[in-house]
Amino acid sequence: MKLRKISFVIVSSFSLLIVSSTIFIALTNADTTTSNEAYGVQVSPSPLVDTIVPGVTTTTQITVLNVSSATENLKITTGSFLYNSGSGSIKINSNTPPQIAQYITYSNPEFSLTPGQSIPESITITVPKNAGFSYSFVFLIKKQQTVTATSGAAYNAAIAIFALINVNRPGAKASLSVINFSTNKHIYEYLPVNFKTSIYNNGNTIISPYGNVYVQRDKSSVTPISTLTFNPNNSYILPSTTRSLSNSWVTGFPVPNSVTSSSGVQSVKLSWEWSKLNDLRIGEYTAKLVAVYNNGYNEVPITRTITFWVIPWVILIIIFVAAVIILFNLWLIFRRLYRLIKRIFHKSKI
Amino acid sequence: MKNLKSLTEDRKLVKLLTIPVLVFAIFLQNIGNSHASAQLQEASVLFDRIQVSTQTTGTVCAKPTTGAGAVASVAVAFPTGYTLATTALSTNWAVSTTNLAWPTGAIAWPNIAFPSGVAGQVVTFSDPATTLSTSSLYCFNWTNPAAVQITSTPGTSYTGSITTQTSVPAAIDTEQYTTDALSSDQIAVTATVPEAFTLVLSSSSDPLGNLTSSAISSTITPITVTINTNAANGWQVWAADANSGLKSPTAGGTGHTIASLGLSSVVTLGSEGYNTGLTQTTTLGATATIPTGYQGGTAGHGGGLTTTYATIASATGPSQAAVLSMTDNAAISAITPAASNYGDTITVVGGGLF
Repeated sequence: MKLRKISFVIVSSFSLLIVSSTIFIALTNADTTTSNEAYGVQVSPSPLVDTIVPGVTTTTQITVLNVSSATENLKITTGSFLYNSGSGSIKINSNTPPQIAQYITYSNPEFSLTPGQSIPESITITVPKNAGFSYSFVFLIKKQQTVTATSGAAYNAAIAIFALINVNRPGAKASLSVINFSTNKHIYEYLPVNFKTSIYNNGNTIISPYGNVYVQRDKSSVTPISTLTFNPNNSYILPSTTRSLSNSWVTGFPVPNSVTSSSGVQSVKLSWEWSKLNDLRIGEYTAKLVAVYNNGYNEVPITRTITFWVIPWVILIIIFVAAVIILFNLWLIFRRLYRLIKRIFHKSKI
Repeated sequence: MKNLKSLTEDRKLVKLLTIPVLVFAIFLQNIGNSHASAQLQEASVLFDRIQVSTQTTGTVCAKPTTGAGAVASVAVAFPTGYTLATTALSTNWAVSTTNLAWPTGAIAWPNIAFPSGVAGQVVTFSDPATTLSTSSLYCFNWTNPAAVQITSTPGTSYTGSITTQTSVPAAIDTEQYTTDALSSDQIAVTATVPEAFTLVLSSSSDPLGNLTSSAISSTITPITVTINTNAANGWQVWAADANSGLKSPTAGGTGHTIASLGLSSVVTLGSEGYNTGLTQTTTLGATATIPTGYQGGTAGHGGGLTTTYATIASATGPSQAAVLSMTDNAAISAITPAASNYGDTITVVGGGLF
């Protein structure tokens, strides 16, 4: 019996040692295993936004970091891109250099980075006095040598850094106009109310508008019910393009929560948080957009106003039905009481 | 007795006449008042800052309706809740007539000077002996931000007025204006975390092996593109290939290409075809969206790449470890020319959006 116990302890200890060793080796391997990435690069800032003065040399900087486990032999070039106002999509063209490319020089047009190493890449831009008013293009960070395949497919990668450059020169015009401010429905049962604002840049500079969307009871209300931040991501609008920006009014009851399914589809799930009952919205509301941009001298507000309705019809029907039932029961009770009293009076007369 | 009766009737008559006369007098007075001041043709106060609790400079513009007679002052009523400087008027309410992005066609307000007084919300700027034309829009600026502080409550429809006055002072022309107060009207950069974008490509090689007409060849280990970025406007990934298909420069003597299929295509057994299908997983943040035309996940499904860059994935906000798995699918027919050098070069480009 004693021998069996001793052997059990020895076997258990040995097993534990083997398991521990296996886990240790596995962990050690996990730490030291070098993956075999074909490209691994981080850039910042991305996008790059700057204002330059014609005739004056401006130097801006981006940082390139090698996040792969092998030495990266990289180069920096420029490419152009096209923004589609209708779809909001961007198409890049790495083969066509932008007009500004001739005015750009790099501190390191080609460079090598060991794993974990970073480099500050200085970009010098000198545009002539008769330059344009703004330039939008991409810097491309790609391998010096393109990988090709003799059989099967070869993969290459690059990072595009969007560059938005305004030129501060006479004749530069910052001008925006709201071409549409709307909700996706006119009548909502519950919040969220989704606002879509389409803004056209009819100037010649790149602009990022800001401001608020005020949700209020009516057009003349001074104090709004909710104040939403307009363009919280500081999205930029290129000259002669239209960009759609969105806002959602979510402070309502039931509380609308955004959920993402496992397949990545986003939807709204209503949460009945009774502490937010005061946020129940009923009736007509007015949303007033006050977007602002700076024209170089002062802030220019552009405003639009829309109205929409929130009618929580399910809640209203439930309240109505409940009221009808209560009134009907009251009527039944009073009718019985009336008959009872009538009968008592009738008997007392007899 | 008769006289007494007559006197009583007279009194009645006087009483009867008094009421209409009074009404008529009030009517005449109202008419007189309504003609005392007309509406300005145009009136605006442009605040250079409209953020709550912020001191600001600004511009006053007006286009008169009444041409005759000299203007002696301009009374600008600021909205209730706006704080006005009431001391050191020549400094705090210094004015200028420099055109600072004034409305189109506006000209300098002649003889305008710092206010003679501030009463409540009304600031009365001196404008001695000035005759204004009804065809001009006149503007002037107050140049010291200490003059006005925007109200502390964000909101719209804050109203004030502009009134031109005679030396009496009596109103000549007047009009209301409306302004807004924003919770924040400027972008303050207070952090030093720049927007960064990281792209990692798992492998540069996808050997599809021997293609036969009896099987569809697909990537054994999908090529992954991993995105990490804090770009607020999200990111996008594009892809293009060099040959619009798998190309052999020597097959059949003059070369042959197994052409890329269209979007949302399926590579089928026994027919020439080549496409790329994508699936995604995202650990945190904005989920990657793959356009329908390039969605994979099912054998042979995907979209054909061409020499023009096409969007193969995007997200509307920052993403952590958004992994795009790319699978190439290829099939040949029985008459596809034999060669050992069917190849393609795919380039994937990613970037943080603006």
